[in-house]
Amino acid sequence: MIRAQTTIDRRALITGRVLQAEPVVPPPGGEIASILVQTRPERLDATEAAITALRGCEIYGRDEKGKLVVVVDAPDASSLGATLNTISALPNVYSASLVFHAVDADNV
Amino acid sequence: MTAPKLDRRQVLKLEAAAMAALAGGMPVAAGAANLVTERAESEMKWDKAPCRFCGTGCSVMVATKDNRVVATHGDIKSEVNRGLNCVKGYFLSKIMYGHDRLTKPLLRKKDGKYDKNGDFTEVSWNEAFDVMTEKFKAALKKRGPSGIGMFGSGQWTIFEGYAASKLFKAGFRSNNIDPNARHCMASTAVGFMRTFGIDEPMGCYDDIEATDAFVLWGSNMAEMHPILWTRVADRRLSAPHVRVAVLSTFEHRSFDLADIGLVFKPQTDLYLLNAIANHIVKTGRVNKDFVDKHTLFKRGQTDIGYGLRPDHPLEKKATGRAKAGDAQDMTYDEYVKFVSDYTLEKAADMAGVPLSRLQALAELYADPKVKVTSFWTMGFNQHTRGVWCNNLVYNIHLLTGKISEPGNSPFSLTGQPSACGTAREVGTFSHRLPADMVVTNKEHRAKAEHIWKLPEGTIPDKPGYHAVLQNRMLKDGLLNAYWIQVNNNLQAAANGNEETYPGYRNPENFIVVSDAYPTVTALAADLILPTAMWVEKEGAYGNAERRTHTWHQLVSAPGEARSDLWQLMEFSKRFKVEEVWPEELIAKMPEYRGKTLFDVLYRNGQVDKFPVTDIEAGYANDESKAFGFYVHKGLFEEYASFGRGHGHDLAPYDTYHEVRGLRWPVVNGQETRWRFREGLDPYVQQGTGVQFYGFPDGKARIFALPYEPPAESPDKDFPFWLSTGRVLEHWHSGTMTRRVPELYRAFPEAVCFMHPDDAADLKLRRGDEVRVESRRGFIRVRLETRGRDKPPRGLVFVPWFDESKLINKVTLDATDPISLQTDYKKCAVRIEKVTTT
Repeated sequence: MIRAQTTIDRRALITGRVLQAEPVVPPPGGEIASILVQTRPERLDATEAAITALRGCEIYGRDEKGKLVVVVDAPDASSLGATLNTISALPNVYSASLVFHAVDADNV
Repeated sequence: MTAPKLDRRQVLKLEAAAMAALAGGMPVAAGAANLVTERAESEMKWDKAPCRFCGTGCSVMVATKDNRVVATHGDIKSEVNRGLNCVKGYFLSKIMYGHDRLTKPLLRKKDGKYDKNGDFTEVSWNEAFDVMTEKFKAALKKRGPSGIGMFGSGQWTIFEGYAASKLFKAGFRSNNIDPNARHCMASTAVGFMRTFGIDEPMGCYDDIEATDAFVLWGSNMAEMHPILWTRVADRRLSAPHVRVAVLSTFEHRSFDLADIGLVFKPQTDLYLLNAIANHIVKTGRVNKDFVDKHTLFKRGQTDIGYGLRPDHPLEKKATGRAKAGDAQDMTYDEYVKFVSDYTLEKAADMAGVPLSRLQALAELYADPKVKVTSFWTMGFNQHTRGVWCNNLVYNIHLLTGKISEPGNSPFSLTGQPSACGTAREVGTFSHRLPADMVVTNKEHRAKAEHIWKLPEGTIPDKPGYHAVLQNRMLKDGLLNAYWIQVNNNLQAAANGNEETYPGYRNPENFIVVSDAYPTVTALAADLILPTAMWVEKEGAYGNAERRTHTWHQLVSAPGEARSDLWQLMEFSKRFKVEEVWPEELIAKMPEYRGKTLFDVLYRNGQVDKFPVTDIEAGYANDESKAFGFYVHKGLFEEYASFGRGHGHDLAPYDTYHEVRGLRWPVVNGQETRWRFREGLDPYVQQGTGVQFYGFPDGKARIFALPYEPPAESPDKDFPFWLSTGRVLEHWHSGTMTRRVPELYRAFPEAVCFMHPDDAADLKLRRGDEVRVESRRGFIRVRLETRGRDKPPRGLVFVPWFDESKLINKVTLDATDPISLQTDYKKCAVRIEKVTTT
């Protein structure tokens, strides 16, 4: 902790070596999240299948207007963001909105 | 119990599913429904809180367990976000738990004593305040009230901003207090005051579902206001006649939804705005009845300069600099003559946009059958003619009468959670007082002094140093004791290399930074105070649509971290009235003799009126416990007395803990969604139809304001425009979002977005490390030619969230001379490949 609290000097500022982008430490334990997906209604089945194939993803709700409720059970903090990005980038997905998020699922 | 017992993981999953289903308006699975109804029995405790990030003002449900935030979900009861969260809001539960959270005051020391060149050393609050008090007293003695200053924030809670403003303007008698909202929305605030005589939007987010056309002027809502953007997208996709126009100096994600996309040359928005007004006039679509009854015409002062230091050549030749905000009366006919120069053809040519698209845009505004909502943020506001841009867009809405009714709405979006609620409404700017009053008006000062029970003449009558001037004064050694709260100005202020940093490290100055994390600003300071954040304290914010909302303290802050409010009030105990006020002022109220500023400002029979027993059962409140009264309620009620009965009415404080915010003015328990329209706004007199009551004559001002060139344009040595801004994943300087693993990984480092043809000409490839260099400084950054932002040729875009790549060393500290807000969107740079040796 103290390591990060080094002072910055003129040279550091000018050269841009102020603070190196520093990797964050993810909290331990799994995470649970839900994502509301809006897809093209006629492509609902294909989208559902694509999401079900993703690691940790389950479908908990479906609306013929093109909506899916996805619950993500992420074993570690790092995978959740990637899963969300993957779903957002699926063909015919208009939006993937995060709704619920709990950290440290094993101990809650 | 008949059902098999679910394990915790399954319970959480059902709960997660139920929340998403509710947000999507879908039926909830039976098991989950039971679970939600039995929520009170679950081990987690759920409470509402506004999101900590932008000015949208989403409400979030926050779960706590064992004094820690463990889960969040979008608040279904909130009218703003209706159960959804954006990616930042979603990870709110992690912002407080970064590994380098500050938990003890840190003072630069050498050999056991304070030393400007010493190393940061943990000290007690007592020692921290001892040294800070000594430095503030020394600066006051040396220079008087102008020797001290404070830089606050649109992220201050309402209470914090109010307590700070009162401490400086009344206690220390220094108006040298300004919020970072100066960088963010000063142009909007001044634009409102200039056109309407009263600040903040007349409409609200409900305009989104009522409008026929959206026009985005310099706003990338898709990334910066994603929840509002989902509402815009819903409207566009569910009502096929709705059109979306997006204007920017580079193509970004909001263009995905655009029916009309316009990428224009920097600064030519002034031209486009006037040309649209001229098109409305020329095609006979001025709403004459509305214009005659509700508007006046004004010719604004021109050649007003660029807010640079007075000895800058551009300032020396600016003839209108001294009276930048002035305007003269003019007639409608004179206005028509003024705009007649601005044809669509000429504008399209100047701006480099297709004429057909500009015509389509102008027709949206001109067609009396089309309701138009205009949105804007930093493209307008961070502009050396930002106030003008604001005035000019109001011109268009006023000429057509498309204003103050559902769907017809010129609407400035805000970047910070309480830029409206704290910076503007509380009046933490160097020239303002609560409820739109100003320090330069004797009656306004008298009213504030009366409410604050202070002798006449306490509040100084001149505006203090604004944000950019504070940096210049620090560098020049004229501002010597300086306190920064809830912002990261070494990263945020333009020209940091030449203006900000030298001021912080000036040996004559003592710099205090209150923050939750060691930001670059904190590391350049002399004293760092560890600060409680978000739900570690009770709070209140005001969002972009005039919505005031509050939250309870839900967890305690780590270690010795304390809220900004506690810091301000505790510090005030260390000053006796005799040490800060002249004898003639004390003589007017001798009963204050011998008292501390804490006694005079906060133990005044008003702020300390409510006992701690008024705090809702089950909630902690660390400040109230420390001071022995319900601090937040007392501050709020005293503050609210400024606006009640004057168009800024707030509800009784306790109400806000029960609702998802209310939009002021709140009269007889009813919020106001559209102002200035009879039947919708209780302040509009019967029979007037529309009344712009910010001015005594009830009329809005239409301004004749021309095109004027930017402060710096590309040339042979520096051939590219540089625009800075944000990305979806990170909020402002990244202090919070870069400590959330998902957000950090999603966008770890800033990049320089460039057109692939420009890159090819420079023999650069995607991923190359380049120098982005201006006359003021440079950074090294990777090149991106394929990302989400697609600049046109001749322009590069660099986001500013990354503390390892401080783009504001490169930017120019030119400001709008009226709003004093910096233009972060236009300066000249060159791009060179970094050669490794």
